[in-house]
Amino acid sequence: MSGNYTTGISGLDVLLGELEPGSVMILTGPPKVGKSVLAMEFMYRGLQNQTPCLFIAAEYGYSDLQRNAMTFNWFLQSFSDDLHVIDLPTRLAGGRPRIQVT
Amino acid sequence: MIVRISSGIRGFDDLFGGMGSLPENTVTLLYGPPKVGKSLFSYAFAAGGADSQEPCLYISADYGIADLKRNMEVLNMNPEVLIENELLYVIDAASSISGSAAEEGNTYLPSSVHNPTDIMVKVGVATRNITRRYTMFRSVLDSLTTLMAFNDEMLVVRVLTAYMMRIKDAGGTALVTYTEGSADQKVETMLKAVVNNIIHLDGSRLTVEAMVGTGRLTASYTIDEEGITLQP
Repeated sequence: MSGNYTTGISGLDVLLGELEPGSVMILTGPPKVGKSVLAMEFMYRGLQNQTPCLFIAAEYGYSDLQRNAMTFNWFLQSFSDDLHVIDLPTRLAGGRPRIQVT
Repeated sequence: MIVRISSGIRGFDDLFGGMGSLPENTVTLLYGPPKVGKSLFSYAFAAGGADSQEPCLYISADYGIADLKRNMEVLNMNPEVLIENELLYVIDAASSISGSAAEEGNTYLPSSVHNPTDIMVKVGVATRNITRRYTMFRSVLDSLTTLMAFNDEMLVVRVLTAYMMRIKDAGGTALVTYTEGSADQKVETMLKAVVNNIIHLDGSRLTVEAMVGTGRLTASYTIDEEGITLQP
């Protein structure tokens, strides 16, 4: 990958400027303040720009991720080629991910 | 588009414009100090579902089946009829302590607060029974606090995660109760992090601290012989 890129989240890009590939950011805060929403939007805006995303879901499974995204009218199904999900909790609950993901 | 189901708690749906309140297929944490109405809220939630032919899977860790029925009868609910009509399914995790659990059946599954793995197995059995007949259902887990008294707190957080996935995968909407301050602060924060919505009761005020698709909401409430009523 060449060049820097942005999060695609309006307002946040103004604050952060361009991100350097290879950098890692930690997003922290109390429960229910929007950490997962921000993470999801980061993923979604990337997908819209053909940037693939590896999403490691530890708190909720893939079907929940899809559902949560849908409440913002972000439809992940259309990006299944670029979205790679490691779904940790679904097996814990004895379920099987509904869609095979890479 | 967020579909909200009717809560069954008088006045609560009005906070959201009257067309339902709790987002369908999500899990709500209901917490607050002891004896502020968490179980009453849960009974009304179960009754509200039954009113529209939507069954409730009630996991009772605080009260055995006899107590649970008595508590519901006080609120003019008819648990016997609900159980008979498969509108109330009970996983009784409390009676086994006193050794007085009733016969296992389709709608009554004895388990034990000592054995969260068994509770989860029974949740699996019950959700299969329910989804065979219904497409929509609700569930109550009352309470996390009692499970924590008998088990490692982090194990209970893991059980909650598994419970949430099970219920959501089966298409259900759940309410879990927890007594404020009864667990380690770190555990309490984790409970709040894993659920979708948070409602706090303090004895006179109900506060929606977090909920899918809405901001913070608050209203005062009273408790009488018919249960909880929110004031407009």
